Order: sequence, then C-alpha cells, then structure tokens
Amino acid sequence: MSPPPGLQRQGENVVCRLHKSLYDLKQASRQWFSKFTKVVLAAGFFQSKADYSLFIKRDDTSLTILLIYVDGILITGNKIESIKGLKQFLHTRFRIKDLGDLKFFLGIEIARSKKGIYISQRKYALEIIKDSGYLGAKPVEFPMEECRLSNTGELLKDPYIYQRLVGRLIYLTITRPDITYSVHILSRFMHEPRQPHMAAALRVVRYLKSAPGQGLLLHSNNSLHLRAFCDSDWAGCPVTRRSTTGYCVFLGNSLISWRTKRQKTVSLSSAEAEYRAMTGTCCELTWLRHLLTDLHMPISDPVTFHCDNQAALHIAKNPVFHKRTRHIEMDCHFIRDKILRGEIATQYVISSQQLADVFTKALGKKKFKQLMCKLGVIDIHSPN
Amino acid sequence: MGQKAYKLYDIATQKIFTNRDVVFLEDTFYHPPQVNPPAHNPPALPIPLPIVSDSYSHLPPSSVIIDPFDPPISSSPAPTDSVPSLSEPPSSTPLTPPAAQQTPVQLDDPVLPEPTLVIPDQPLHRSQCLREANVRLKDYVCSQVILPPHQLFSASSAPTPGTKYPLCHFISYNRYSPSHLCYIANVSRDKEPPSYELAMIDPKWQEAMNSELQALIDNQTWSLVPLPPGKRPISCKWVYRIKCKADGSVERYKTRLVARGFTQTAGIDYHDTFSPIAKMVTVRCLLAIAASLN
Repeated sequence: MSPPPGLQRQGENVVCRLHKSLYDLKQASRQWFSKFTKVVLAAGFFQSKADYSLFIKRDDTSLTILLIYVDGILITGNKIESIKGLKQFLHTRFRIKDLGDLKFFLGIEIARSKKGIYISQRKYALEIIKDSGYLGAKPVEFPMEECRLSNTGELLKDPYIYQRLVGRLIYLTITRPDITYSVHILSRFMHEPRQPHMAAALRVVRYLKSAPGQGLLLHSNNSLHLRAFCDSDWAGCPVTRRSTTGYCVFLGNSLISWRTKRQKTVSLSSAEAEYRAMTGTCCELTWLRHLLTDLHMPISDPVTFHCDNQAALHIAKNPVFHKRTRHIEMDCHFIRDKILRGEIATQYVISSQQLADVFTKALGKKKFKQLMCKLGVIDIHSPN
Repeated sequence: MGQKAYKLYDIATQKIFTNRDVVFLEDTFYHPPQVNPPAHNPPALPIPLPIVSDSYSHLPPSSVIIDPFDPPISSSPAPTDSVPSLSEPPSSTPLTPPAAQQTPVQLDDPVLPEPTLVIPDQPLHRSQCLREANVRLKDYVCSQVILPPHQLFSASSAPTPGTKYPLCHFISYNRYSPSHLCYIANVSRDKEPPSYELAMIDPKWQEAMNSELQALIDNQTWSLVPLPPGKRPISCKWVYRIKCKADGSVERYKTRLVARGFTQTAGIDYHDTFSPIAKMVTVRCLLAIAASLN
C-alpha cells in the first residue's frame, strides 16, 4: 500500500507492506472471519459443517451456541453462566458491545412471550412502504392477483427502481412467507422489468401496508419433529414453461424453512414436476438434519413428508419403472434411498390441506388467510 | 456615500474594489436563474454594487437575523470565522441599511481592500464560477435562523444571490424545542472534512490522525519496504467522522485509514475473499429451538 498522507517522507520511494488487514480491503471480511474462527475454535468450540458460521460448545451439562453474521454475533445456550463466560472471553479478545437480550438482529425485530419467540421486520416493511410513497395507499388483502405475468408490456424507463424495490422485498421474505411466492415471481423479471411487473410489485407493497408488522411465531412447548410439505405447479412460467417448486418445513409447530423456486428443466407431466419438487425438498431436509445434529438435537424418527400428488408418492415408494419417468431416474433413486434409510416417510395430504400451496400459486383472499394462519404467520401489532 | 464610483466584486480573486470605469454587460448572465430575480432578491453578482459606506463592512454580512429569544444558537458560537454573525449582538442587524442587507457578497475580510486599478475593458471572468463553499455556508447559517413569524416571508434574511426560492422561505426551525435546537446547532456546527488537505488545517483532526497512525504502527500493521519493481501500490485515504453524544455535543473526532479496495486487482493483490454468512434458515432454526427449550 502506498503510505498514507501524513506518513510520506520526501525523496523516499517506499510503500507499506501490510501485515494486517485494513478497512475496505477486499479480503478484510475473510481475514476477520478467519481470525474470529481461530479464536473461537481455540476456546473449545466446534464449527458446524452444515453452516460454517455456527459454532457449538458442549460441556457435561451446558450447551452454548454462537452464530456470527459478519460482525453481529448471536449467543444462546442453556446455562446463563457459560453465556456470560463466553461474552467475557470474546470481550477480552475483540472488545465487543453487549446489546443485552436479543431484540434486533439484521433488521429482524424479535419479541418474546410465554407463547414463543416472534420475529418480524416491521421497521423494514414500513421503510419500503414509505420509500414507494404508498403510506396513504389503500391496503389490499392478498399480495398477488392470479395473473400470469409475462414478458409483454411497456418497458420501464428506469429499471433500477424496480430492481431496488424487489431486492428489498426479497430481504423481507426472511420473516414473511406470505409474500415469498409473489416476490419470486417478480424477481423473474429483474433483468427486463415492464409496466405490469411494476404494478404487481406495487400491489405487494400495498399488501404490506395491510399488515406491516406481520411476522412469524416460533412456538415454545414444541416437539422437535420435522414435517415437510412440498408442492409444485406444472409449467407455471409462461415464458419458459418450467414448473415451480414450493416447500415449507416445520420444526414442531414452527415454520423454519420455506422456498419457492423455478425448476431447472421443463417437466413433461405434473407428477414429474412434483417429483422434482420432492427431490428439492429432500435436499433441504438432509441439510436440516445435519444442522440439527450439529446443534445436538438429532432427529431420529423419519421426517413426515406431505405431498398431494398420488402418482409422485407411488413412484417414490415403489421400485416401479415407467417409460415416462426413465429420464428422472436419478431423482427416483435419491428419494427411494432416503425412504429406505428411514430418513423420510411420505404421506398423502389432500390438496385443501396442502400448506405449500401458498408457495406455488397466487391464492385468493379466503384460502390465503386460512393458510397463513396455519403457517404460524401472525401479526402481533394488529389492533384486534 | 463617500465616493462616486462603483463598487465591484472580482469573482476570480474574491476581492471588492471600487472603480468608476465600468462596462455593463447586460446581455450576458452569470447563470440562467438570475435572469428574473424576485423583487426581494439582491441583484445578481456581476452587476456592480452600489457603495453604501465604508463602515458597513464591520456589520455582519446580513445573512442572519437572530431572534433574541433563541438561547441555543447564541450560546454556541461558531468555531470558525466563516459564520461570524452568530455571535454578533442581534440588534445590530436590523439597523443595517437595506442596501447593505441585500449585499450578496460575504465579506470574509472585515477590512475593505484598497481600491485597485483594473483594465476597464477586461471582461469579467465568467467561466470561473463563484466558489460554492461560500454560497453553501450562507445557506447553512440561514437554515438555523429563527425568524419571528411576521418576518418569515418578508425575509431578506439570507437568500443566496441567484436563488429564486430560497429554502428559508419554506422551512423554519421555530417550532422546535430549545433543547432540540441546541442539538441541531451542535450537530451541524462542525463539518467532516472531505479530504486530507482540508483536515490538515485543523489541529483537532491532525491530532486524531496522529493517534490513529500511532495505533496502526503500534499494531505493526505494516512495515516500510521499497516498492518491488513492476508492482503498483494500493492507494488509501483518510475518512473523518465526528462522533456525537446523544445531545449532539462532540464526543470525539474519529479518523480511520481505509485502503481503497477498488484499486486492488483480483489474482494479484488478493485471491480469496469469501466469508461465510449465516443462512437465514439457521437463524430461524436456532430461534425455534431456543423458543422450544426456553
């Protein structure tokens, strides 16, 4: 590095050879993480392989868990003394600032009660509404009309506004499964936004206004059992004719993981699309099992796997070989293996009880509200 | 009026002088908004100013009318000479003749410079803009002024010359509580210097930079070596921040040396930058477990 102004001496052509990281160097974050890892590992922690930013320490009686997100650190455990000890230790090495009980982390507001932990992004949602100028707009009850957004319509003059809005909405899906599907659809058009897309995005904002404080309740008195719901539409994307996977995973009664994803390839039948969705969900479940094992909460019994497509369930259970499924053989074997090993147990669920429905299609008001209730999405800020 | 001459303002040198031989260039304008200045606005800069009297230069530069009921601002005198009017007795300003009040030129130098001879036909240097800092500073002072309500709209207080709709016509701070005003005054009193050259002038920043430099050296962040041939050093810069306490008073002057990461080249200056971040599923999972186990 060239010497900083103030250190320059005349006539000398010297540079600074950096031994330590400096702010804003490209590798600064990596250096920080490796330093932090070294210190924490030296303190007897174990780094989770499922998520490298998770550190766990297990003593005879106590369990301390540490999660790092760039420069924010989340500490939890079952012994208050060991948590205090850890804070003290970190303070001697890094000079940390203890913010007390968890209330605000990465823009997520966290509230606790006897019923459980409630997470929401009220402040962030309000900022989005305000920045779109929709504070006075009439709220709507559900985020997206059942319309097929396609690549027609007038191109937006300034795509940056759309991209920024959708980008912010994506961050909002951390605590809001209700807008996950709509935001997924909107983000398909990030590269070339058009007028109808912007209108749909602003409708999502108006939906946010109906309940900006909506969030997720993670229940206490919970059984540690995983349940998964998976669903898919068939050839739902009008542009590419690919299908969309939607799944959600519950730990006990609390929703912990959900996703909407357009599949990589075109499916020829709805069973095939569902089957691919099952494969995707299976991957997530496998990862979650690893994570829970690392957190010393191993899941021994098979994960209940709800699906509403009989054909897909049949293929998963029985070693049949159809002409129509020969091209998805790999997925077939993958799920069959999981079932045989006792990691998952498939179960049929009728379509009206299918919770993952909300991640694969735009629903009307009644169905939408009903499913949101079942997912554990509530609004503690609402007046009634 | 002691002299029969025009008072002129040289934009290039920012000096005021008098001369009788003046050519009015009425068809060229400094910048477009000045074509039709509102009635209360002072004439645009290139137009020579009428001389009022030699003594007016001791008055504050007309930009501020201070309400006597405004304790916070007068209790926090500006640290630099750029806002001298804050500490002036408030009564002096209204006495100023109207022409002086509308003088758009801010006098940094209280002594009127000696009249100098200029070549009469020399055109005004129109390409050289008026220094922005001066104009901005005037706005800045005026934004803190609290006018009595009846003066709010007739305010000749501080319109920047050439500003058609000065901000002080649209906002006023007179509804804020004294403690909040104090806070505003404190917060906007000091500016963070944008560059090293400007920071070097101020001993506060100098001291802060020295201590930061010393800390970096103590930590053995670098060693001085000759530049290896064929290599390009990464540049760096100082960043200045004022850290305020809750009431707006200065806690400390903080400087930080940052490397300009964008001057680095991938593969030469650095190889891996990946740093893992927690997945949101992990965060939720952790919270769910924490909830269920209380």
